[in-house]
Amino acid sequence: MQIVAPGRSPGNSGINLSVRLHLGRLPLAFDLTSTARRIAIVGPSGSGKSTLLRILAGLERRARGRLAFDGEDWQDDERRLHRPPWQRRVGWVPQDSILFPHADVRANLAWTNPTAERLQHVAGVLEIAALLDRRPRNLSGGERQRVALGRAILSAPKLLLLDEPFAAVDRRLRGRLAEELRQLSHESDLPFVLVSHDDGDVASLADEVWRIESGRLDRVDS
Amino acid sequence: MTTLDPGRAILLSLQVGLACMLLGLPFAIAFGWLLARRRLPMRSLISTLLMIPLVLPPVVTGLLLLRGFGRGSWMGPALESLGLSLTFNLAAAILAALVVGLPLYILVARGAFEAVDPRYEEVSLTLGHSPFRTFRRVTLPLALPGLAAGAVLVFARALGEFGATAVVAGNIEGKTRTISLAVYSLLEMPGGDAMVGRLVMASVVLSLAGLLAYEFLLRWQRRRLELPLLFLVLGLSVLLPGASLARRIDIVGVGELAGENARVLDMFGRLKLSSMEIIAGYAKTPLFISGRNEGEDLTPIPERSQVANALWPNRDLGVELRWAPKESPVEGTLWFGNGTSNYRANDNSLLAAAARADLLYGRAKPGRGKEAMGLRSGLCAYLANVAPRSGLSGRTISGSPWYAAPRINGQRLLLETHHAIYLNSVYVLAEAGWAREEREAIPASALAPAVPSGESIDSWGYGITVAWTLRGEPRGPARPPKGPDTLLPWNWSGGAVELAVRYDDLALGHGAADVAGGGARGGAIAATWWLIDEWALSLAGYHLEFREPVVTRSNDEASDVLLARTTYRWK
Repeated sequence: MQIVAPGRSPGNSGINLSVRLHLGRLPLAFDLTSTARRIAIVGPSGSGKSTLLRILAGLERRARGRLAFDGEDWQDDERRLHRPPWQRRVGWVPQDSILFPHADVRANLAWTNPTAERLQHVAGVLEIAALLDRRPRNLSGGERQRVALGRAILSAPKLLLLDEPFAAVDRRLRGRLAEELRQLSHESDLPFVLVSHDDGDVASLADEVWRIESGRLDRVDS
Repeated sequence: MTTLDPGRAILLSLQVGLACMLLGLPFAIAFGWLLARRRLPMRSLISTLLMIPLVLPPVVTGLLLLRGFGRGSWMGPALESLGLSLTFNLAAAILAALVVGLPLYILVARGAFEAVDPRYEEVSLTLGHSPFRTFRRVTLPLALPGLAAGAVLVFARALGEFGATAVVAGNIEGKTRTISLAVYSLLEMPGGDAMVGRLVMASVVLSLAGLLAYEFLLRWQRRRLELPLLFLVLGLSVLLPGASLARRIDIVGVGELAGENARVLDMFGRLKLSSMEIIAGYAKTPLFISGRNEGEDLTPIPERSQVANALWPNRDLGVELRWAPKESPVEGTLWFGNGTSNYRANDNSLLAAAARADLLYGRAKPGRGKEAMGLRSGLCAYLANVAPRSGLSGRTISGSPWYAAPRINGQRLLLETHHAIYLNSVYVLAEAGWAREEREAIPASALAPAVPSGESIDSWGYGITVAWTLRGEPRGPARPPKGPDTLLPWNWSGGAVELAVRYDDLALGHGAADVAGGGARGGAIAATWWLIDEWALSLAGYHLEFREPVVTRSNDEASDVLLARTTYRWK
């Protein structure tokens, strides 16, 4: 996968991903090159979508292969290279949000010490400014999702990794959350890889859609 | 009497307990985290080795420590050259308690770390925090309540430590004589009883405070991580050896394995004071002798009488206070409960309460099993709010429901009286019960039709059992007839044999025009042969004549059942 930002030279920037992985008896083989900034990966559950995001984040140590993003090598098993997750600067938003339960919403958003203005701005866009003093357990699924998204964006990532961002949100709110996501992504020119089991959700958001099925990853022609 | 300062013993115990909490913490964190999070080679071997002091007799642990750190040991000279001695001083007492308590500490710490979802740590890593910073800001704070619970547990365990301490640290007044050792010493001293009482009180208070703190801390972690109740139960079951000093507390768990179905029957803690007993947990409600005071396999006729079968509210989660002074012929019981899963009790989480009074004489009193005569005579009232629930019903001996019980909405009142007479080898048990159930109007729901009227329904019944011990020592309270011998085959000379007959009557669901009642008159005869104390063979025949046709057998007017069974009791 090769993601090329506008104004950046191709071949140097973007993601190159070539991964071989055996999960139990299921072999996964990903080969991905893209020039898109916003990529959606769709596929049925159990197809390895979340695993792919975990590989990008550096959390999946069983994967073997090569991975490069924006000209930086993140993983290359021939050279025994594995950049650890805390040096990749990815904003990973896992499927069920995983907010720190011992911290309130404000502390969750401020986990990486962003400026107060930036925090207020992101909270405003995501419509969670009124929830800042709440505890995660007192939030609805959709609210948690937005806080997790805000926390990831406020860590100033180079790449957002979104795992089913609309799963916990009811249909009515999906459009709004998608709009907020689009706004934040455009504002800071933030590329993202989004996975979803539902094609309809993501078609409008992504520049490019890939389908993952039976351990293979193929570009969907739009 | 040699000098013994109870205040000093309590202080020493506190010192040892606190030192164990603090010194053990780094080990508990390190090993707990390693076992929970790292894929160590030979993890199960390491974990087994760490748990050895938990299963080794403490005296043996103490002996090994003495061999390891004592004067003649290989470590001894090295320690001595450093000016350190780890035998027969306070340091040795701490070492002994620490080594014995550490497995529990590590076990609880491991559980606390395992309870933290690794994805919290992964999120922190992707947010740019190093593993160490992640551990400090995420893992440790989330596991903290569990770690604190482990510390409290180790404190409680240290209070109870005796065997290893006695071997490594000795029993030196003012130096290593902790509460446990002081109590032991006082038992051997003439006139030490008064002081023992004070020490026992102190240790009970400390242990109970520890128990409460432990439960509070685990609840805190559970609330924070939204953990299932299982963790709490697991923690409490681990605590049991830790509370060994509070010998007046015992925890009772009774299970039943019938065919393929295993289920927990009772699970409660019991605190015994001199004239008071407090039971908290899932336990039998205090109604009916055949329900409450005797085990289900201990009654002269194995199946409960129809009235006890239908009207006994079975078990419930609650608290029972029983006042039963040894010398007094009166016994009083107050009970509060709620939230059982049994429809005959009260599964709607509303309060249920019972009060029971008994008169006791002779063999019916505990510890007087050899007396020729005995009597237990009592009354119990039970009141529960059973907002919309199925009414009293129960099943016949062959398993058919008595009748289609109507829906109840309101109070259920049960009154019950029971009388047990012991006269040499004859035992008579008479029980009678009456129930009134309110039925307020209930609107129809998707599952059940509306209940139109407010007419209450009444149920009642009684049963009389006469049993005769043909062979062996006659039965006592909560004890079946006893053979003259034990398991040893060369001593065996026939065990105990009892014959029993019963007449009983039950009428259910009377007083409302829209309810067709149920119930039966019946008789039973049974013979039981206790080959040894634990093992019995019984043959019982039951005959029932139904008042109304039973739901599932509408053509039957009577039922005859013959049951042969063998029971084995573990104690």
